[in-house]
Amino acid sequence: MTRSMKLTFVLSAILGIAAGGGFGYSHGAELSESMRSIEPIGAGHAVSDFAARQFHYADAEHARQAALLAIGVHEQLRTVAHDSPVDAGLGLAYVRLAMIEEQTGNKEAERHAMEQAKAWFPPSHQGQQVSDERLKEFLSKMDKYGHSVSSLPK
Amino acid sequence: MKFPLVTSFLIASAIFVGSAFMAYKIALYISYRHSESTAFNSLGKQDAQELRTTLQTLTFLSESHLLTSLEPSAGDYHSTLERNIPYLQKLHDQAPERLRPIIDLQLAVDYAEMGRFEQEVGHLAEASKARQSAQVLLSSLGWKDVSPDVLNSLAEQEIQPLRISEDTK
Repeated sequence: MTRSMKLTFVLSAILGIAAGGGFGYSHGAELSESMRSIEPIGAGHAVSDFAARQFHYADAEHARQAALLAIGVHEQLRTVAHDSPVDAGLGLAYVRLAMIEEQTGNKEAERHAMEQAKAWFPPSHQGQQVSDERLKEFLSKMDKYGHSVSSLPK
Repeated sequence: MKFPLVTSFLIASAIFVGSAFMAYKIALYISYRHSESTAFNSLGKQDAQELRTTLQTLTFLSESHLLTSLEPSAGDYHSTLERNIPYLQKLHDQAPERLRPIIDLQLAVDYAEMGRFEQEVGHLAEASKARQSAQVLLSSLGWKDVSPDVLNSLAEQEIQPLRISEDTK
């Protein structure tokens, strides 16, 4: 093997490492960035689904804990994902909590939770705030047609 | 060497491609890990760490659920469930305390499905054991009714998409 051949091979290796390393580094950062935008959606869905199942099949205390967990996780997600699905998820978690408080007869806690919920739903174009009943009805429909609680016996 | 120029070019190309591929893989891994470990650092060290753990746990949970949902045949589905249960148990042990109930519910669903499969193939002892595990978990989650009917419905609900796809074959 001649000296020039050796030099060519070493140069090829250096160029290969530089090119591959550069692409790899930039793709790694992009991949991480996309994961960070996807993860909050999956996480929000997981806690909402859990809260829905607990609301329909567990006792009031466990259902309340699940709703509070959903609120906590959605609030945590809001610190990094300022988009409407996360806001709506947080609002609906408060609606769920209000429905639990309603079932257990805690009127004051229910009213407080509904107030918190409404903060996450913008008023309509006419400036009308969405009503409590409409929000509860919406969540019940989501549960009914959603994956988690449609076919279990009550 | 008969054609030194051509041979050298081919060897140099192979070296370039090989080293580029290796460097790409290593840099991708390092860059991804680095970005993940520094993600959300603007929130402060503790909050960022807590958020990363929450997202990782819930993402793993969603992935495990997706894996069982996407299995094409009943045999594959059963073996995926068999692998999924220890995986969820490990995830449960590593997860923050507050997220453990979510994993418990998914475990209960998997046990209910396992019980149903074992029942169908006549493994009654295994079916009973899986159902008992599901019942223990659901009771700890405050479920008011953990009867076999509820477990069957819970399992059926998860299996339904699979059944539909098998029927259409």
